[in-house]
Amino acid sequence: MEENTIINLIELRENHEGEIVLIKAGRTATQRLNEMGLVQGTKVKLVRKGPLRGPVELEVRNSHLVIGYGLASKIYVKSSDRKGDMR
Amino acid sequence: MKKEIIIALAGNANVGKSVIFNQLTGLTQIIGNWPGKTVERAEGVLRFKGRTIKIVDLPGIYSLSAYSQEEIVSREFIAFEKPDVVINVVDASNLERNLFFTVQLLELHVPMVMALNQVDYAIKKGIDIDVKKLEELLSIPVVETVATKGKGLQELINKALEVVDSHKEVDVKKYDIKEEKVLKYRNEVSEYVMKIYNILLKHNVDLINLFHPLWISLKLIEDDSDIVEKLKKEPNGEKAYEEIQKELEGLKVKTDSPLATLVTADRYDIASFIASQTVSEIHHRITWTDLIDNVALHKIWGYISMFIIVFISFYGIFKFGEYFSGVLEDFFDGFKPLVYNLNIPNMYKDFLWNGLAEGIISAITIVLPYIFPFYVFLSILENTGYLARIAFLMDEVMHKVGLHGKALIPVLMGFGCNVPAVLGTKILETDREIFIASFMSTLVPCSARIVIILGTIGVFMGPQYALAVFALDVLVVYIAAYFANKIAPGKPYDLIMELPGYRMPDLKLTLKQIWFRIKDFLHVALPIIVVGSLILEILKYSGIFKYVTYVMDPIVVKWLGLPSIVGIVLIFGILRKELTLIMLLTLSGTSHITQILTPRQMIVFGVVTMLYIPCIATIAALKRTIGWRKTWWVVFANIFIAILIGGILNRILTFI
Ligand SMILES: Nc1nc2c(ncn2[C@@H]2O[C@H](COP(=O)(O)OP(=O)(O)OP(=O)(O)O)[C@@H](O)[C@H]2O)c(=O)[nH]1
Ligand SMILES: [Mg+2]
Repeated sequence: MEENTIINLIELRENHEGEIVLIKAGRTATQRLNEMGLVQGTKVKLVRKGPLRGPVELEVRNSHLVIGYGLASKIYVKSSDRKGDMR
Repeated sequence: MKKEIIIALAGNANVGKSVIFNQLTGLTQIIGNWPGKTVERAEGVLRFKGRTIKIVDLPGIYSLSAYSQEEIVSREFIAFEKPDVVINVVDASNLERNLFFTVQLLELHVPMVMALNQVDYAIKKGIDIDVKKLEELLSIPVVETVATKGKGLQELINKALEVVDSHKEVDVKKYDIKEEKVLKYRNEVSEYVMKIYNILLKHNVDLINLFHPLWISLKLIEDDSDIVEKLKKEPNGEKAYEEIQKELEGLKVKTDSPLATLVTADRYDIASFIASQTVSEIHHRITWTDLIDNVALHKIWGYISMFIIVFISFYGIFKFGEYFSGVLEDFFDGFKPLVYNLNIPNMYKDFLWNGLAEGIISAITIVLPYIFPFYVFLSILENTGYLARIAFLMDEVMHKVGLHGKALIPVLMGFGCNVPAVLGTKILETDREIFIASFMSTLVPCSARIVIILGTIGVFMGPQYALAVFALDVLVVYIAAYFANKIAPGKPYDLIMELPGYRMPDLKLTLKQIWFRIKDFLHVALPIIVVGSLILEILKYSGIFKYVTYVMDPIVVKWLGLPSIVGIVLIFGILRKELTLIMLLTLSGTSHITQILTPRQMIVFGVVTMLYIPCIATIAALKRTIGWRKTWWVVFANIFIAILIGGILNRILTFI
């Protein structure tokens, strides 16, 4: 078994999955993300990343969400991907 | 049996509420495939089985918290106007997220029916839903619908009426969370709901008559600012609030995350439980959406395909317009001798031809041939779901001007008409963003201005020049937004947007949409054009022009290098932008712009018309959206930008 590490969504590789462990954003932003279905324990798949500091597209609860780069970097997931090996 | 009934349509964004609304009322709310079209509630009337039903279309929301204006609008509507029944419209292809909102409506204990919409799309995605089971779990009627085809709507209204007729008031003084069948929160939350409820009862808090106690208690656990404020305004409110806060300390020590997160997580747990019991994915298909997005959202190909789409549509619209414009012109030219052979004084002939006929003919021969293909293109853009992709691709670019990608959607709508564009900026989160996006929208050429550029620069100088003018405009819009962002600085909210799957536009609905837009042109623009032309003829004879041109000549003639009469048509253009071109032609008694303007003047005229001022309808929309003070700012900024750029072009385009 691979060891799971905690990384943020930007560090997750395309087409890889992770499980949300922590959202380190402001109160309002966290609440909005929660309401879009991103709560602790939710499984997400990173579908694609926009170019440069573009947004990320996630598959979550069978639908697709787009999250801006800044926010995505504040969402931490547990994944078998390791820090540093982006894409 | 109640005769006058109010039905509210509530649900997530982009589920089909407005399509249902339009089908039921015959009205024309904006529809399209991206989240956040309806920004204000709309009302219409349906007569059904001898009863008068007021249907209310609410903005799409994901939650009933108080984080956005739309959410507050919706929940206050439900609380204060007490609709007799709420139709919760849900997207069957995306049930779990939709149920999160349903759970909150259930908490409010309002009479409700669920419209399980887009079942056709769900089937295509290989999703099957057990409707019986869903009804059983939710304890409300569920009706399968395909709004675009009108399927199931009759039954939906029947069920809604049944709910209205059999509804009994709930006694809010005798509530017990243990009796809830499907609303099961973690034990601590349930326990604290009851504790808060008892405090509210003890202090005789009136709020529970407005919103159901379960919902109020949950909101107080979440520390919802708006509800807290309402509570504090009550006679014993302050005291009750203090007591609740003290009580909640006990809950806070048990968890390390904010209490609002607990409640949200529980609601999602309930939603996923219901979904797990009712949804079965028969087969996971690789959808068209996935395949198309591999290109459309690709880091390189995404942008290339965006440019190709714009390019092809531009030439398509231009070629179509140019061809039919020519055909129609030949046709109408045949009428001129008929008027001039009439046996009436020459002055009347002028009135008849210049004032009446020419205005209408120019509108039909120059404007219509271009706006028709343009509206077709716009409809495709709106209904397929591509607009949301542009928001994805452009998110980072928009960050540079203090906005996020979604702000571009209303701005792009400005190509059709600036009015809905400005009104549509309400989907943005802050006043600052709404201001910048509205300002950008006013500089986007609407269909009228596009026609002017295509019909003059495009036809007489070549489409590549028209394209260059549009490219210049994109630059101007971006730079203007950059400066607006400097004036009203702030960090943009980050984008959070649901990405809708591509939909094949429904042929009938799309044609209807195009027809309504053209009808709007015929009903609103044509009369203005005719009346404006008549007034122009009268003024021409009254000799008032020389005073007007005296004032405007320094700018129009000296600085912009345009003929003096352009000053007059620009004034009329504030009514409708089409008027500038149409009047220029009538005033000079020709249908060939080349006889009035040199190529350089044509470009300056096109650019100035594109930028110089929002038309009165847009000014009204601006006032409603950003208030008078900022509206005047936008108006003067437009005038300034137009004069500045027009003058510069006049000076540097000496080689043309
Ligand atoms: N296939 C299919 N598409 C549908 C159905 N109902 C609505 N749509 C499409 O879904 C999209 C959204 O419909 P709208 O009525 O504009 O959605 P809304 O709920 O009013 O959205 P907002 O105003 O943004 O909250 C449009 O592209 C519709 O054509 C349906 O039953 N089947
Ligand atoms: Mg709508």
